[in-house]
Amino acid sequence: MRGSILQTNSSAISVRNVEKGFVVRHGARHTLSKDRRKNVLHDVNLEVRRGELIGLLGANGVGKTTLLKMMATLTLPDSGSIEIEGIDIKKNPLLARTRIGYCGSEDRSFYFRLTARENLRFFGSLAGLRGRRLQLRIGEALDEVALGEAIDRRFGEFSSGMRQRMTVARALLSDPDIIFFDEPTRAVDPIHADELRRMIRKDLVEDRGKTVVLATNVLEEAWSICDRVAVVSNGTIVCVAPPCELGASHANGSATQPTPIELFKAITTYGM
Amino acid sequence: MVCERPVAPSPLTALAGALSKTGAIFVRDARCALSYPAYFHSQWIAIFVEVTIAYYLSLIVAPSASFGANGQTGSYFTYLVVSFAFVTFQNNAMLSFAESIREGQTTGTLEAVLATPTSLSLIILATGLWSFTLTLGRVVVYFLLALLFGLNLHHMNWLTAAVFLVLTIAAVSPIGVLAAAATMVFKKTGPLAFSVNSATSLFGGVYLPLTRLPLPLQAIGWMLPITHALNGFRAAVYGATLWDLRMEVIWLLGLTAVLMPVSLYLFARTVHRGRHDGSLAGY
Repeated sequence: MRGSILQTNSSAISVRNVEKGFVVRHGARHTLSKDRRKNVLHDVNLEVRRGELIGLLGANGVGKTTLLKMMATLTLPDSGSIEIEGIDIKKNPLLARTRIGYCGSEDRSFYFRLTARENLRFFGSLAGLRGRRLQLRIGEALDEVALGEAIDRRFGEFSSGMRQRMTVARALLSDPDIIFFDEPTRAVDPIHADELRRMIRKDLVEDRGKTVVLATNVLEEAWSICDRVAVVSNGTIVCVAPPCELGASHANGSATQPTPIELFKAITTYGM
Repeated sequence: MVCERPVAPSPLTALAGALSKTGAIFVRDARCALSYPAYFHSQWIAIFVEVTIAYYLSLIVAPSASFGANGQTGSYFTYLVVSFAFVTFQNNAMLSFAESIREGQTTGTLEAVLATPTSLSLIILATGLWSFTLTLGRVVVYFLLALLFGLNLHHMNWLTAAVFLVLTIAAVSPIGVLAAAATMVFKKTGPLAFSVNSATSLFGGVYLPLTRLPLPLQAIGWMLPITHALNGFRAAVYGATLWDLRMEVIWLLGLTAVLMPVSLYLFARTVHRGRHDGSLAGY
């Protein structure tokens, strides 16, 4: 395992027996319908160690974002429990939120008429930053995502990739211990995507010991930067292992190492 | 498991944090509003038009004791100016809270805001701050313009007026929070705000005194906070003291004391429901 030097065996995030379903048929006539609700996640268990970068990998619609949002306190689990650094997110969501940064997949989630600085000043204030520390962190966060020169440009003028990088900057603003990334390189050009991955791996995890959960569809991304990969399939986590071990387990008896896509297909179809 | 024991912030630190967050929400709303200069400045023109309409309407309606207060005969012009100026507090409350939530749903900023360690009460109540400040500015302009048309403020009891201003804002805020809660559930703002604002105009004594309405309608009007806010401010224009208006003050305070926690509770429940069914960012 590549692991950061600051990685420990204590849990930063504990997900235990989590179930989640959503109403998919709305309206009074479906009230008693058996297929009114669709179970999205069932019996999900995951322990994320401090200082670890763990990838949530799965096809579209398997529940990666739902799981990420539950860990970020934005969606409530139907049953089971989630703890962030020992804080139960159901009982004390406000305290849990002081420990986390959330980079969602919605890249429009800013005020279009405000500049990057004004947007981050607003979200930074809500995150509890004030005064000089807030100003300092705005500059640092924008520099980290290579948007330093666009600090006084209106968000509405940003390209999709720049908007995506703004969501990353917002998640980094309060310098949280735990950061959730939901497809952070989506819509980002290859050069900036590579810089983002390096920043997440090197700067956040290896140098600063942050705990990162990364939901992604990009196999190479998960394989190249994650300490462990949790494969989500059919509404549950079917395996959690370092990428190299995932490869080894499926290479048994075979002359060549399977490619990530071969592995992914095998795991989501047959499990480990 | 290693777990750092959370340290509760001191009351002063918590207050400073809350003020900082409130300020941030106020600045956000002000910057967003001022970034549409044409729209922003057009409202001053609208005030001029409304005062002019009130003036010409008053020319065809004779002064009457039912337009006045404190035992004095009042002009219809004064009556309408106070109505038009003050009812905007409620109209703005209905719209601004709900529209802020609606805009947050459609752009995704609501979810981003709710991901921060900020209490729901602060998020929703601070949302009304810019709107109320702007409305206060509109009321001042209203009265300044009305003075040019002959509004008489010689007998104004300024203390009573200031107290009723605060009471009005406090009493209509829960209505705005309720509108925001409805938007959380129904994902639309229009019909509810329109219905409440229309009902207020009819039953709240905006266009004509409550005493001119049938008794059952008077009873409905009597329950509305805006009725008492308008009565209080009108009486202040004619020099009434807070003691003279103690029943209006008690009613507004009581209504606020009941409606505020209820509205905040209902708003929290709708957000909880949004978290449960994953619809915070839905619209």
